[in-house]
Amino acid sequence: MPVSRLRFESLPHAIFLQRASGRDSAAGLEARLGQGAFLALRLVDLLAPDPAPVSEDSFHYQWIATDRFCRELSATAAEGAHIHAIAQSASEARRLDDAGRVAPSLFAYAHFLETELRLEEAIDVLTTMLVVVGSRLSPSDAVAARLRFARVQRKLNRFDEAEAAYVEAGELARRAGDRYSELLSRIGRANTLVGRGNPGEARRQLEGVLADARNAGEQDAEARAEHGIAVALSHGGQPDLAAQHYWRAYELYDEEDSKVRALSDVGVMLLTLGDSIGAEQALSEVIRRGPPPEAASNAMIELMHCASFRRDHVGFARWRERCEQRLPDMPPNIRTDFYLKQGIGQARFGRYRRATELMKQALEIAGAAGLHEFEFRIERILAGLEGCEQAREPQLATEPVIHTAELRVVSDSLALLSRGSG
Amino acid sequence: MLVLAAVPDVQFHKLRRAAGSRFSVAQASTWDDVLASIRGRPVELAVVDPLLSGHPRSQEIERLRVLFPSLPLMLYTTLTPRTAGVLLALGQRGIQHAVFLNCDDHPNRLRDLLAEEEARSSSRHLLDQLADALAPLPSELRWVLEEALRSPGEVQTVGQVAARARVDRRTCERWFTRVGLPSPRQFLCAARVLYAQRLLQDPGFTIEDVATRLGYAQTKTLQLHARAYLGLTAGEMRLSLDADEALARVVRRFLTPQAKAAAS
Repeated sequence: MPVSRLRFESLPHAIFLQRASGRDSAAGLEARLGQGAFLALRLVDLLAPDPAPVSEDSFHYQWIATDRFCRELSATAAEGAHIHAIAQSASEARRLDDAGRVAPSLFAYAHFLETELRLEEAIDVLTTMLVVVGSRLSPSDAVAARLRFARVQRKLNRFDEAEAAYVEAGELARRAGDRYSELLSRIGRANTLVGRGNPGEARRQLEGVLADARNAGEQDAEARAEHGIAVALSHGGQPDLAAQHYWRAYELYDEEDSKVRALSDVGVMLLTLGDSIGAEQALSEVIRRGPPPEAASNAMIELMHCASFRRDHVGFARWRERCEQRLPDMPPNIRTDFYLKQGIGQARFGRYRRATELMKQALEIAGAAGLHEFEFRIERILAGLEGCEQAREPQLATEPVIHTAELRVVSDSLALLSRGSG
Repeated sequence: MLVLAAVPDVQFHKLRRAAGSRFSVAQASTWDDVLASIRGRPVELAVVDPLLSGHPRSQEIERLRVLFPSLPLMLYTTLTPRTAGVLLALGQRGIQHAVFLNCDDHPNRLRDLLAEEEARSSSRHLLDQLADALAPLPSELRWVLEEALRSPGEVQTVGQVAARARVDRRTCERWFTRVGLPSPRQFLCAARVLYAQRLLQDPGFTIEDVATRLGYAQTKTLQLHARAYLGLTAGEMRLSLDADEALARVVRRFLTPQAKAAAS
């Protein structure tokens, strides 16, 4: 369905009540945050032009009740501050008769939820924005909202919805003469193809975008296209080529967070190719740059994985401890990855019973969070673990499988980067 | 229009205050009362609280949805972690409107929401269907006929229609003739059969329930009218016609000039 015709099919924002509906969670902060978000978004709904806006008295009555609830939350958690900001901006939007004023706080909250992998909730917030203030957004915000909506839908594997939103964003961007967003829309559509299992076509389209981005001098779009090509190659079973494109993306990105993300991907790819030294250099550089918490956790987990790959007990234990300190703040996908890679590490050291326990723990977290891709992967590895146990022979670290001239360039550049920063 | 309030006293009083003179509000204090009221009284809209019995429950409300899918339902409850799960379940089953006590239940807001829901009621749908036929009538007479469709038990005879419109019976009949409609008596009967046909689409109503609710003295009369106006028994019209097909039949038989000539 085109984004412009979005509407809620059931009780709007009920997704947030899920947090309060569990027997254990009913009294906790999570439940209150869920209720707060539900109330704040219902206040935003009153700004919709259709049906007719509610009376001043009705709005004020609802605002007082919502504010009373949300104000308490703002002091308790980062999410609470987002929720309270939404309620406040809704009140301001009503006072100034400018519904667009609520957009920044909705954008910010949707971004927060997306990074926390609460994707269904992020979709609800973005849908609210598009339904309530969609027609009153500035052209650039209208494009940005659709691109964000498309990305979250893609992450949820709802590729039809994602594609429709990307197409609409691209069309709006074209009409507004926004070349950069138009390129982003094309990149997004190509990335959707990777999700649909067609990395070859995705790569072909991204190469087209890359050429156009170069011609237009849009370096960030160029970097994103390179990054997309790398992902497509990695999915297509060509990690050696993928590593080079990840590196190109790293070089092209200007924004630090994106640079760190690309560098982390370089590390993961090199490790896949058996180049644990190159991988460690890339991942250590990620940590050195003081990245956002999630990127740091990911890098530490990969460094733990590198250590187990090299059968380095001490390194493995050191990185595991550092990861464990971060466990309370890890979202479910990273927590799953941590237990999985810790399990793989234990298996590499021949501790199969411990490995099985850890992988089951990972499976449980993945199942609870609906991370199906992880579930399939863990089940496959768990099934193979039995065979390893029967062999009873911890495998030795392997030599790099592939080492092309282009990969050597990446490794050398990484070595230079490490020396430069060391 | 009658609104059934299956809510505790606090919400009932707030609803009554908000409804003013536009809606009548009747309270039901148990789920059995709710069922009995819907079957026996001209309830057009139900406002329900999952906490009616003291414990949050969605089953009874889901049952109402299954038995009376054409009845608009609005939730009016307290937002607590106890009700969250129930709201989630009901939201997934298509309930779109909820109001929360002391949060968004300002009288103006409640009145607006009742009016919104009224637009989805069976009588409103029937009025919309008959709007073209009623349009040429003078407004006083039209209002009375609309009232007759909303409360079919209260306005059943041409005399009652004429009295409410403050015209004599002959004038009323002349108006119908002038705009090319069949006699007022036939119009009222046809409209009631159409209403019955709509209600019978809901599996929660028996033919007897519908006859009682629409003010037929006996179920037999409903059967006779169904055969006269739709050419079917009440049981057949439940199974074989949708609302548009039923209206098309009545229009073809009674509301066109040729049909009128044939009928008279």
